[in-house]
Amino acid sequence: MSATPMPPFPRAGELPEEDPRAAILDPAILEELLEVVWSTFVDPETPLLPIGPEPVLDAYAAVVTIHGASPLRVELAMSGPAAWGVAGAMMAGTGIEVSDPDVRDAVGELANVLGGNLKALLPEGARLTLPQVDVAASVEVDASVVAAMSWNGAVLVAGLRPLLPEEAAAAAPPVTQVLADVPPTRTGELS
Amino acid sequence: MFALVIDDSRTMRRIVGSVLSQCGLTPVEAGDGQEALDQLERLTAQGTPPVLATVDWNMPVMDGLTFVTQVRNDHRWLDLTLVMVTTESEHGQIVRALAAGAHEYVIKPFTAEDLISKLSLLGLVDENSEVLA
Repeated sequence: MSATPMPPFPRAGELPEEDPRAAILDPAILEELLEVVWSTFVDPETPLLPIGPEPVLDAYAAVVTIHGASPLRVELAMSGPAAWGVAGAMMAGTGIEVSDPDVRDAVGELANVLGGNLKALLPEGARLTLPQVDVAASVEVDASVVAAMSWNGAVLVAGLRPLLPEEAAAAAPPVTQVLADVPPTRTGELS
Repeated sequence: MFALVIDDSRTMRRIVGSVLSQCGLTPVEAGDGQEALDQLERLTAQGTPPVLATVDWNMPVMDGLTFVTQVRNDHRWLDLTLVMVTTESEHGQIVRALAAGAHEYVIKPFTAEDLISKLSLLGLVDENSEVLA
């Protein structure tokens, strides 16, 4: 972590038109993707309702970074009740009692799917990081574009932020780079 | 019959495993490609090789594409059906996975019906979503 403050990042509408991220820095796109992911994996019955931006309390917050020529940070934060509800809904029918690691994993996987679908809107060659999930008493999603939603009264906020090259370099590396850094696996022993 | 469910997300493993169980398959979980190779060796050694593996792409230790490539390079597992289940949805990535030896491709998010439909296309389940012996 660097103590040097990062330069201000562009808000929606401030990127040059030729930047491929300009087209997806749109709250409507973020809301739509979130709703698709939500209705498929979490709750097909209860729609997400847009609300005004607000801090997420007792929060589970997941971040994935899209690396490449057009780096983006994707954040998904949800209140404790929303996060536990998500994990319970995603594991419904498995007979498994949900625990805190399950909640972290579920929130991270939703961020991963959201990030993957956003990556698909960028030119080919972008790479995704594994999700990083943290728990905090309060989270304010610091992003260029934010979609704040309510699910059964529980708050979730998704945010998109274009990254400057130096910010992308400081973020978690993409999976492929991580793999390249890993010493040879035991694969050779299996053949 | 066994099915390997390979994903670094335990939530996703359970979602996919639940669908496969509904079809009559017995899911065996692995959190990355290397763990999946180990499970594959174990199941093969005990005479019950899996008929199917669902494979995430982005995983630590060994990614899904490497797993597919390694499986396809081993004649013991020529009959193993490989289905990518991943957020990687670019055309180029799909082509890479299919060229490496994956049979089908499911993009997250997906419904149970989406996954069963692919298994049906591959001849693994019948019209009642039950596994074909």
